Amino acid sequence: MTETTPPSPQILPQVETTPEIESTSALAPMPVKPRKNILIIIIVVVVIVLLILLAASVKTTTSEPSGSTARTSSTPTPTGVAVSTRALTTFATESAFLKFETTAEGLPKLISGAVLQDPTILPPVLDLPLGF
Amino acid sequence: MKKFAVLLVLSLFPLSVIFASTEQARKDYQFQFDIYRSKFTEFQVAKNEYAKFKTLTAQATALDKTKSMMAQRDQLLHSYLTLLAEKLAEDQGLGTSTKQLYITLIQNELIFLERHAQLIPSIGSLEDADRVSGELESHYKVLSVSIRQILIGLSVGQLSILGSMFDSAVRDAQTIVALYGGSFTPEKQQTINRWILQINNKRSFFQQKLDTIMSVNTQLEAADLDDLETKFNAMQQTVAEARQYLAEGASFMIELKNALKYAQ
Repeated sequence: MTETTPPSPQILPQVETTPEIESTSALAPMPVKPRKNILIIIIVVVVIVLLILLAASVKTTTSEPSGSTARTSSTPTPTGVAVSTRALTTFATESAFLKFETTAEGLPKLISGAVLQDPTILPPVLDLPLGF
Repeated sequence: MKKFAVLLVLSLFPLSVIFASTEQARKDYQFQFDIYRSKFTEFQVAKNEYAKFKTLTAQATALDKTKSMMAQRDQLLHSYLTLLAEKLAEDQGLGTSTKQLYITLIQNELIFLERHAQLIPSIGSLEDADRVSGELESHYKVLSVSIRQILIGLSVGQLSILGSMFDSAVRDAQTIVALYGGSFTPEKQQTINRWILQINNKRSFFQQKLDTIMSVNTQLEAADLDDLETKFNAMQQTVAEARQYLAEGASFMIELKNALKYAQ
C-alpha cells in the first residue's frame, strides 16, 4: 500500500502570534476612572478640614462677649498699682520711705500667714475611766 | 530664758532625756502617743477578755495591761507638757511674767503626774487600779484648763509679735509724715490723716481683743470638759478676730503707702 499525503487545505490555519510587550519607558496614561476617584477623595478631605476650621472660628467668636476686643484679666486691679503716668512724691525714693514701703507691703502676707494655733501641739484625747 | 525654762521643768525628773529642741520634744510626744495607743488597745482586749471569761488568768492579764497602760498614760502627758514647755521657751511674744505663770502651771502638773506615776507599781488589784486612775480622772479637768490656758497664751504671743511689726510700720509712716509733711497739699494731708486714723482704730480694736483674750484666759474655769472645750473654742474665735483687725489695718497701711508715694 502506498502512503498518500493529504491535500493542502484551502485555508491555512492561523498561527497565533504572541503579543508584543510594550516598552515601560513611556507609561501609558492611567485609566480615567481610578484618577477621578482619588480626586474626589482629596476634594472631600479638603472640604471637611475647611468646615472644621470654620466651626472652630465661629465658636471662638460666639464665646467672647459682644463688644470685647481682647481678653481682660479677671483679677481686680488693686489700687495704687504703679502706673507710669503717676508722679512720685519728692521723697518716694528716700531710704526712709523705701523702708516703710517694704514693711507695709510685706505686712498683709505676714499677718495672714502667721500660725496662731499650732495643730501639732493640741492635747491628747484620752479615755480616762477604766471601765471595770 | 529658754535654758532656764527647760532646766526648771526637767530638774524634777532626773531620769528624763534632755531635749535639744522643740522638734525633738514633738517627736518624743508623738512616739509616746504611738506607744500609748498600742498599750491602750492591749488593755481594752484584756479587759474584754476578763469581762467575758472572769478567770483568774484573765484577771491577772487585765491587771498587768491596765498598769502598763496607766503608766504609759502618765508618760504621754508628761511628754506633752514638756513639749508645751519647749514651745513656751521659744516664744518671743509673751511677757516674762506671763511666761513664768505658764511655766509654773506646767511645773505643778508635772509634779502631780510624777506623784501619780509612783502609785502605779504598787497597784495589786483591779479595784486599786480603779482608785488610782480615779485620782487622775478627778484632776484631769484642772490639767485640761492649764493646758488650754497655755495654748491660748501661745496664740497671744504670736499675735503680740504681729502687733509689734505693725507698730513698727506705723512709726515709720509717722516719721515720714513728720519729715516731709510740710510739702503736702491740704487735700493730701487730709487723706493721709484719714488713713492714719483708720489704721490706729484697727490697732485699737486689735488691742481690745487681745486684752479680752488674756482676761478671760487668766480666769478660765469650766464646769466640765465640754464646757471647757466651748470656752476654748470661743477664745480661739476671738484670736481669729484679733488677727482680722490687724489684717485690715495692714491693708489700710498699703493705702497710706500709696498716698505718700504718689503726688496725686
